[in-house]
Amino acid sequence: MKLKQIIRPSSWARLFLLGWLAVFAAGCVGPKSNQQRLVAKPSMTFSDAAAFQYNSSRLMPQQATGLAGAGGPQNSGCTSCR
Amino acid sequence: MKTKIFLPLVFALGAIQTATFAAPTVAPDFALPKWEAKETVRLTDYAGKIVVLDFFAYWCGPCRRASKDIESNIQKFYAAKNGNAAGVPVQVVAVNVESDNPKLTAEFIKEVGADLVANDVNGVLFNQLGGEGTPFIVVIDGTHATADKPDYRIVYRMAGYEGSKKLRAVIDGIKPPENKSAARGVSQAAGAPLTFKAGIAYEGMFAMDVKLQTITANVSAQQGGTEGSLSYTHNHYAVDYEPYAAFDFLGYAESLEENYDAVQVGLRQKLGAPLTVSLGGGAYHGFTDFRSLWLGNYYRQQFNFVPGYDSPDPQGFNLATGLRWEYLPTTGFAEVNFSHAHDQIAPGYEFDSVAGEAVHSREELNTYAPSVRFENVLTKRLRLLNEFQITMTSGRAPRYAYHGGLNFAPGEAWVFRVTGGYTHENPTLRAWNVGATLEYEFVPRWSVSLSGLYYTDSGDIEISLFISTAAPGLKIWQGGLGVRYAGKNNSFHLAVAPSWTDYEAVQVGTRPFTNLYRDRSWLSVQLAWSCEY
Repeated sequence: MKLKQIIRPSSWARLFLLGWLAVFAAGCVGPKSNQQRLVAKPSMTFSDAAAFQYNSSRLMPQQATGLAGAGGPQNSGCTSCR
Repeated sequence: MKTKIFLPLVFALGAIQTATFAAPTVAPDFALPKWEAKETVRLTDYAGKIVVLDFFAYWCGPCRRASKDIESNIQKFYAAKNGNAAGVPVQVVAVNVESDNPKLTAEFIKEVGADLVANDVNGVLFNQLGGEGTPFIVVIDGTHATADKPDYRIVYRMAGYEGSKKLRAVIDGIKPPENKSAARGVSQAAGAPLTFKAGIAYEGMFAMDVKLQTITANVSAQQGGTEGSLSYTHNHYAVDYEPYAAFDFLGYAESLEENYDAVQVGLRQKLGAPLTVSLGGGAYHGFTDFRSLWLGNYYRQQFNFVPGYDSPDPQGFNLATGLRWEYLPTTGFAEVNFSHAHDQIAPGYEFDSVAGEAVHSREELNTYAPSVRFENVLTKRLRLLNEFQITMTSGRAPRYAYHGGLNFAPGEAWVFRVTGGYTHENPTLRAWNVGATLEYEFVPRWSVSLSGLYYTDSGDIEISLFISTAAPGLKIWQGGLGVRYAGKNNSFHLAVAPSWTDYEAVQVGTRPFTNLYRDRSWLSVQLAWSCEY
């Protein structure tokens, strides 16, 4: 039996989901305090500080509506939709 | 049978819980090497005294504030008073847990003014005391101990810093065993240190016919477990409006300029060690984006002389609440948020030939958006973010969105960040994006970064009037170059990022907006400053 027949595309999706869940589960135990030096750097955190924002244009969602966060018009994109 | 399986499982889980979370109430005896000295700091040297252990690492921002406060408001305070409220001497021991970069640790010690510093770089004592994150503060009551009887009791243990007020209440509550009634009264305690944060962020996106600019200023103040924030945003749009002459006989070219202003306030309150609740709200006035400005102008040119037409006046407000759970100190966070937004938008119009007037589409939208967010430190080099959001807007199917980020530190001076997201709304919207940033610290505090972003969607959902305003499918490519200075208190960031938008061909019903949905080349400039005192 060919490999393609054994692992169908839906199986790949399940495999990806399983892998991501495993990564998620890994977050249940953090490294010890004296091993957190690199991950504690401001550039390694998901910071709200303006000087530490990455790939997060506040103007891009005006065209790329799939990037928009919460909000009516931002999420509707089309302003005259019924 | 079920009980046979279930009971051992319960006991096994209980054992794991006990092993993970049970922390000693009797302080383990320790002998730590003194910082840059051959002497040893021993717990047994402090019989009859109170010992405050302040575990820190130089790279830990909250440790800097906590250690500074503990040295001045605990160590010096009790030294000046010759002990606590009952006259028991108090000694603070700052305990360093980081073995790398001793030069930066020395700078930290000098800055916070630590008097007595010991090393626990292998984390042996830290782990014995049940430490999981820094700052980690432990108060040991040595009043029961003598040279012959090492009876040291842990009376307080906290990952995170609750302020000197809390610490003084704990310390002043300790009385010598033979003199339980000799307390001199609890000293007046100062509060936790007050921290201010501020920032200004500017961004401009410039194409030949569209110029978008936004600036946001924000301030926040934090004391103990309470944080308040305020931000103001101003957007300016300059658009060279150009009708698509082949389908728009009434339209004419004109230059449009519009402003958007918004304020947002927020309040966060720690409910206990692991839980923080947040409340927020805001309001805005003006077009939220240049597309709605363009579309609003189209309808104005077509209908402003027709009965039933009203000039658009977009505005709105939002309310949000959330709960954050720090389930692993400094390394594991889960957050649940819920927001409501009410928007009065610029509606679309069409002509009702029977009534002889213009009729408009929906002009008010209500949006409800629950979301969950998980942030985890996976290893000493990996940090992960996962966000899921459902957005329910009036008259539309629910929109499901996922956003993820993975930050990886391959080396001391390198940071590699990957982001990705997927958005799904029935019947037809599918959007996804992926981005990456590589940052290199070329000299201490100065970094350069290279970034890229790719976005694609299947186009807005077309449930429109006779004339559709829905955007066709879109692809965006963006590259970027940035430089950052990350100081102790002030940080700056400058980035320049060209991008290209590539729309699919407009459908027949969308032809009047051919010029709105045309491909453009953009140059984006981002400038930001953040500070913390």
